Amino acid sequence: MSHIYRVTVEVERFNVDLARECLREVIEQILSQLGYRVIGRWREGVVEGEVTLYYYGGHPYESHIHEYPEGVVFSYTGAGGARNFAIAITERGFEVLGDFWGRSYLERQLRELVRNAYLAYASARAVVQGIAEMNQMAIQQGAYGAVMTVVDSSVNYDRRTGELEIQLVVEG
Amino acid sequence: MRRRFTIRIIVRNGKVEIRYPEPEYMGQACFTLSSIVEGILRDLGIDIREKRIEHYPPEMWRGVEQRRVERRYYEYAYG
Repeated sequence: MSHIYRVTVEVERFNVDLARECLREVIEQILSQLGYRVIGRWREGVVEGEVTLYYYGGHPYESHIHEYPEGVVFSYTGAGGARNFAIAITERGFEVLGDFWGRSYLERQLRELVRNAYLAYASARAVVQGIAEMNQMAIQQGAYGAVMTVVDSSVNYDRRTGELEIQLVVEG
Repeated sequence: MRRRFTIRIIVRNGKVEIRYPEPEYMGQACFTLSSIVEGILRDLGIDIREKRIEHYPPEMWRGVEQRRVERRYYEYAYG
């Protein structure tokens, strides 16, 4: 099916829980900044909102979405009016589903964004967890003053270059 | 006195850099944290392919198996 695009996240072991958090915490946030709107979600057959995709011209098709255990559907306004796409999570990776006819740059952008977001989110979570482990070590050694706290975080995406940055502001 | 500093995680083309602050802000803790982070990432299926260090004096990075190059921060790359 030429309309369905698969995104392979290049890690040896794909972590579904991490992907789920990443979709919610980073990918949705960036796509929202870019003007895409969440219109539906599904997980293990439970549906919230609208989980139908549309072909160019507004014809709906649903079959592919329901092959995946969970995901989020986003809406945008394309040449043929309101259209949408979905980002699904499988046991092996993300998949970007949609009709990108005439909008191949969008498909490329989404594929790159999803892959980079996963790596960035995994790294940010590793840093946060690492700080927590360091704090634990400091407390065990009686060095309470060495404890560090993440006080703020932000996500920035440069649409032009595709560069994604997560900043963690740490106090300590 | 407690200080604020920023750890930056930058991704380009499937490669990640984790940039830690310079030693005046984070000191030796940077080495400990980077080692812990490396282990956590490995558990997540992501391996560190490269490490770079700059602005850390030799006595701080002695014993750490890393390559010192002319870059501003600790820098990791993998993907």
